[in-house]
Amino acid sequence: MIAAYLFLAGSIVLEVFGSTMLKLSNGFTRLFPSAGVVAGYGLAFYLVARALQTLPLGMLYATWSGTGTVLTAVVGVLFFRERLNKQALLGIAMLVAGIVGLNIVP
Amino acid sequence: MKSSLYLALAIACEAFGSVMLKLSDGFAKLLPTIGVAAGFLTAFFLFSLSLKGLALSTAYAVWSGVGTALTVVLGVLLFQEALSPARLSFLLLLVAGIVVLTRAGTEAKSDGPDASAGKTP
Repeated sequence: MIAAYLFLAGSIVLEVFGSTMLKLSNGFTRLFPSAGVVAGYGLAFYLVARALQTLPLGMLYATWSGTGTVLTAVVGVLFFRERLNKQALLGIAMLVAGIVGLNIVP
Repeated sequence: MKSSLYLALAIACEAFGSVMLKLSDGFAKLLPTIGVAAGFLTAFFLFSLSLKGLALSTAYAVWSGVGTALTVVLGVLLFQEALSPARLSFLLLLVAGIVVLTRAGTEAKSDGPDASAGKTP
């Protein structure tokens, strides 16, 4: 069971890594970041598949998508120095709440 | 703006890929399976193009949000999937969040004269 959560956590981190590389790849024109995209997402999907062997799909997707979106926003602000004002943060919070609710409510 | 158009197209391709995934019956049917690969690969490529002109934080949130909402709606329309009142409420919350996020930074009441929602400096 713990292994499944570790797979899930790993897949989230790798997906955020992959998205960061996607931005850095400049439309897949830079080789190293492009390779990072393939490696990151490839490994992320593999780990999700492993986690799915144990965890229910709804809960897994909600956690993966919600955490991934929040972490990507954090990376955007800290690493790419993007700016998110209060309204943008509210929008992201509502959006994430909607995704989570859709996937855990029957 | 071109980047927003790329993002919209990327989301559409991803939705297409998701529908094909359902139709492929666990990758058992060939044509839908090809559709999955084509849809998702094109979506990724278009998303990378959109990221040349959009902030990662907002673009990814919109991609994630619209993608999820579209998948739910298509599930209801094409596959007669159920949508309980509770799930409908969360769908509306999601859509409201997308609107709030994408309109952030264009309204007068944001933090200071230079505030921009998710734009790279």
